[in-house]
Amino acid sequence: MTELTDEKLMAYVDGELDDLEAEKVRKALRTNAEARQRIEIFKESTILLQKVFDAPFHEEVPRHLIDGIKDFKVDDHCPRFIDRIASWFQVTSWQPIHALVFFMIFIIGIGTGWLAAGLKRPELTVFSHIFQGEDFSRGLETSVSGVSFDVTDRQATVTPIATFLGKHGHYCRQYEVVHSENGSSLLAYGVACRTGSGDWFTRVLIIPRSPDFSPTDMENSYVPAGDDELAATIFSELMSAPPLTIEQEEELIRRGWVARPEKSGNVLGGKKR
Amino acid sequence: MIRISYLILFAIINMGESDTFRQQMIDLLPRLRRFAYSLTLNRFGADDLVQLACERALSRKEQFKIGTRMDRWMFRIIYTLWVDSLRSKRSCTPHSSFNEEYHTGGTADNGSTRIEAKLMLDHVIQAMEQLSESDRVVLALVCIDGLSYKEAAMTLDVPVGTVMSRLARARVKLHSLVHGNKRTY
Repeated sequence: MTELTDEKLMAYVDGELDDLEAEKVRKALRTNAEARQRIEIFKESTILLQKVFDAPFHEEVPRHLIDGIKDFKVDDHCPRFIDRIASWFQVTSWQPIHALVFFMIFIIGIGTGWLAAGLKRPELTVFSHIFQGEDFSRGLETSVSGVSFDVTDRQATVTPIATFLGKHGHYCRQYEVVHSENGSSLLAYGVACRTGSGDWFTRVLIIPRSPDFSPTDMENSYVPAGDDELAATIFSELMSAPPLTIEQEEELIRRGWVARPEKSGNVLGGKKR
Repeated sequence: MIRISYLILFAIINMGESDTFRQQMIDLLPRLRRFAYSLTLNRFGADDLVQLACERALSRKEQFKIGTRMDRWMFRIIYTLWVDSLRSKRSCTPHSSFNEEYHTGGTADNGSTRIEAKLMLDHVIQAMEQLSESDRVVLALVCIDGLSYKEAAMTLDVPVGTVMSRLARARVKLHSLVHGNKRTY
């Protein structure tokens, strides 16, 4: 008598049994109502899953994914440290990720003590929610440099500092963010880059040590001097051209971050969806 | 002169191989997007995952053995990136995405049908959220993408028996969760 385990019944449904085994199962099913119910569970799961998740297979592939593959440049040499940061900007499309799946935090530090403390720093948790939301994207999309905007419910103020074309053809903005809570302030500098669909995604974040915040786990950490200088060096290395003037920013914002045709070149900006 | 010719020929062949490699990857994008969506349960996250996976694959092209299945290789990269990201962040992905199919315009007459379909979509996605990574990926590979048990096992580098037991368990659990979720409404 054929033993009708779940795996066997499932294999029968999925066409994974050879003819002989399948025939045995078919015969056994005639007199086994419970097994027939199990069969329906396995059939239903496939139907449901295909119905729910099949949509992306049938729709047109977003252009940025195709361009991302075609335009991707592979460096043959071992990249410099700063080039590895620049390589993050090769992504042609960043989308807001609710679960911070692809949130990347870059902490400048020297020495394992600093890095270890940095990784535990609570302000990472504080800042991490700011860079994914609609407020953040909308603010960078519409505010010229020097004009601050608030990130709602996060008690944070973001100020774009400069706008530039990154080395891989995307508009990026350097910004400063201040998070205030319970009388203390946390400061960070970041660079966010624009996707083809108009969302902004932080690619580099530098959190200098804040004099207002001294968590106990930082007691033995070492903070290198000159965080601002280091940040400026990193940011300048990421630019393919000098930052835009305020007038150029205003025009770009007015045109929905679409560059003029004669200057488009490899610029991959696009209108917000 | 002959050496130069060979060099030029080599360069041309190399460029051609690179173009073929990239075109194969582009041709796979619909399946990759679907697979990524079934893992992340989030359309935005899915495309970002696919983007990262393609970059990873392009930067490690030398690891791909010509003549082997690129789809399995890409699925493996996507899965690895996804699991790594989950482990580093350990946050559930609240499903804020939706299947546009259920949100396209329609007449008032089929409004109840659309609502019912949307509810079922929610039930299934909520159920998937409660499954483990290993359960979700076997469902994605076999039930959604249609790989055989053997192909799924090779993709994940696990025995076929492992795929079968995980798959059976996942489908039973999915059924229980979906119909359990329905009862709460």
